Amino acid sequence: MLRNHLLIPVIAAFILIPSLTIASDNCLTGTCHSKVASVIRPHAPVEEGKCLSCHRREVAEHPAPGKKGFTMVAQGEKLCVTCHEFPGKGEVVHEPAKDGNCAACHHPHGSNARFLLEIPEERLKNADDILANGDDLRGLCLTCHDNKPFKGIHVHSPVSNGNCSLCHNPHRSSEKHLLIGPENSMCLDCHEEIKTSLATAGYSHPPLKVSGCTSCHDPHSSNLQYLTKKKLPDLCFDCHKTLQNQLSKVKNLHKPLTQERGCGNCHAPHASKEKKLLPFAEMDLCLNCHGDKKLAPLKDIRGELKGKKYVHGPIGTGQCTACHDPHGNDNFRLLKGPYPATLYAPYVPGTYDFCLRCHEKNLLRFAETTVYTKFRNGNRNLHAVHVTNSRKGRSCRICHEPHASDGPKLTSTEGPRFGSWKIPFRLELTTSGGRCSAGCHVSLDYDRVKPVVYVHSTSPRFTGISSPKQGEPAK
Amino acid sequence: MNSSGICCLLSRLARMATFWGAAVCFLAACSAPQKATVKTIFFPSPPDEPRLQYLTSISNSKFTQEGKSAFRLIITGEQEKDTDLTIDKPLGIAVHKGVIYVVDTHRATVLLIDTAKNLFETIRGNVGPGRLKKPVNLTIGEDGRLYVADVGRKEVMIYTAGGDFIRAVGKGLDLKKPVGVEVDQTSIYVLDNASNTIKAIDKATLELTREFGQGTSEDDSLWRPYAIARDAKGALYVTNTGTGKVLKMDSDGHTLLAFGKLGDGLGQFARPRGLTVDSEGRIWVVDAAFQNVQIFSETGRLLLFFGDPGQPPASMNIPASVAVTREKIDYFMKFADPSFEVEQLVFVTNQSGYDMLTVYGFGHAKQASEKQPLPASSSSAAPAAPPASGKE
Repeated sequence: MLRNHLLIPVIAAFILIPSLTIASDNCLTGTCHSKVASVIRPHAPVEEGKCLSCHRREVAEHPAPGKKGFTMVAQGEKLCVTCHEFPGKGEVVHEPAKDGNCAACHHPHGSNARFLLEIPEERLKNADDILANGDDLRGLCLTCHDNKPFKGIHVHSPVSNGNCSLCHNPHRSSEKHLLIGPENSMCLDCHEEIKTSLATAGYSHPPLKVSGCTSCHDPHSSNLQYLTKKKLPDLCFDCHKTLQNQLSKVKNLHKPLTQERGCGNCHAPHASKEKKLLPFAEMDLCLNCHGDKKLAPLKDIRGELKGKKYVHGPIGTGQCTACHDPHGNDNFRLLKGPYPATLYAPYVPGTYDFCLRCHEKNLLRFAETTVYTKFRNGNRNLHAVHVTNSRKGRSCRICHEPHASDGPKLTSTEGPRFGSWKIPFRLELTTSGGRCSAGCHVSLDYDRVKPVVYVHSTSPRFTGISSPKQGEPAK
Repeated sequence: MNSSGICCLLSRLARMATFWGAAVCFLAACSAPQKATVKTIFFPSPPDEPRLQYLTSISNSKFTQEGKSAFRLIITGEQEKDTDLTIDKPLGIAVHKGVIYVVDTHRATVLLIDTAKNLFETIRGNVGPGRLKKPVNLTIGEDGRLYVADVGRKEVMIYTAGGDFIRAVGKGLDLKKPVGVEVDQTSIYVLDNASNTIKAIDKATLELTREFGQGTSEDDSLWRPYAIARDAKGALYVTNTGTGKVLKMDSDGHTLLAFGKLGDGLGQFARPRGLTVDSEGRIWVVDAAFQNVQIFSETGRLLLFFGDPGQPPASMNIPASVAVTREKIDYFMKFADPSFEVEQLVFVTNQSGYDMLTVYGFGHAKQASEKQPLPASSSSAAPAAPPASGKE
């Protein structure tokens, strides 16, 4: 009888043990691994309690102290690919994926984030947002990637939102940096205004086509506006070395170059319908600043041009840069050649080379000529008379307006500027000469065919003009 | 027929065959067109890139009668015309609209060679008051008129483009030895070798308006000047045998440029003779001692020289003048090597030798046309000059 009583628990144990083993097939229902499933997004096998999809039982009894009761069905990537196809295509593979370490990013049992992403608890400060959007990957990606490139003052919007996967494929890609597509087309997918201007403009910035947007912009963040890698013009000088060398030696820089936007003040960085990537027609661009009274002391050139009968040749074709260097040089008013800064500058070879680039180069060279000027009395070169005067040679701008005038030969009708006073001035032309009535001297006629004989006045205003020795070239 | 008869017949047949064979050979020889047998000659010599090719030479009127062989005369009965008109001693040369004008000092005439019209003749006006005495050089005005400097008459003789006499200029103007002449719209510029001056004569009044050429140094003074030329901008160029210099002056007499000196180095001169300025501003100067032509940039830098002394084809024999043209050069293209692109023709007169007038083609090898064009003078020696303009 006692023996029968002893058998009861043994038999019961035999009956119960199998039933306990069955119950532990769904490991999550027990008390040991119940936490595995306590996430918002459990792995599908976990959700279905199919732990043996991934785990293999190695011992008869589990748990068995000191013994590992389960091993993985396969290791690393080989386990995952039994159900999942490896995402993406291309030869550039994310380092953890290359190592088959899917679990570096994904939690095999489940996660509160999408795609079972393994976002550390301490980075899940905004769990509600993650659940809502599921796209803020900063917590995950920055566990491996250095945070430094993302700490600029100006942050690319997708970066600030943690949308790393907007631009990068987390598994593999055929593009560098695991980009989800070719760099430029990716950028232009969002930056449509640039895409449109590139399509319609006649000229585009070569780096856009050659080395891509990231040759100038940091795709993550920068301390500079527009996420540029360097401040302007230094960024531009990385390629435009010749200009950099030129400007490093000049005395006068065009002011916009020294301002915050640098080159971008006058050039469109991406594309334009205008040559030299000017944002619009050259003269309109220049007159933006040089045609606004509010920007004094800059001259109001727009006002000077308005309604004038005659304009200087290059102005007629809208070419300010025919005379002015738009970047900088050593010359007065950024002119493209030597020209005196002072109102009076006697001619010596080279002094007026800027004007004589286009105008007759021998204009001032000879006191007598029949060839180089029509402003002469007989053969006497009246240009030379005015400019070669060794004591007080008049510069071109005393008599001529550089941009526009209602007077013939661009002579000033309002009178040349003499400090705050404008010297009265009027030139009248005849078929063989003309008459100059100016505040500088009494009205004087000149005639190429029948030279006027001047009776020299004792007036200082008149005697102030003297000419080089007749027949001798001016030195 | 007996054997002697057969022999006689065969003998007669043989004689007939010999006669007709000789006749055919004679006619064939006569009818064979004249072909240049010289091989293609380039300057500079290979392996340098060719810039000039010797094309042909002209010494008499047969040049324009190509195709009219003795055979044609026999067959058609057409009389040969002026086949003995030769160039005896050519000095000055000018080319205008494809017509070549050559001053023949020995014959005291100007030869007119028009390849388009197959003409080779002396000018009609060389008779009576228009008779030349000792012409040495000539130029052609924009209106096509011929201005011939005659040191015998000490005058400049003016003819129409067709060669009819218009007038003589210079009497009473103290022209001592007018060796060269140039014209612009208002003036005739006579180069006077004896007075070392250029005398400017008003075309309308025929009065002397200016006389210049005497400066203070070799760089602004004429000294035994030989020839005068004018460029498209109106500047005058003069070779000086006394100083070995080429002077560039404006029409007022201001010296704008002087280059060269007596010597036997590159760019120097021993006996500078005729010169011309091409449409690109390059200055071509003949040297009778070196027997070559040197080409200079607008700033006086030596670019190239060509020609050799002696008798071989393409050589020069006491050359006197040079003319360069881009107009109507088609006729001479048949002499050009297929690999060579002729841009302009160059004519050089020789006072001695077989070839009195040698013709060269200036250009470039076709396959290298884009690689190495000879620099235009404006960009060759000095910093790029601004575009020329007449603005004041």
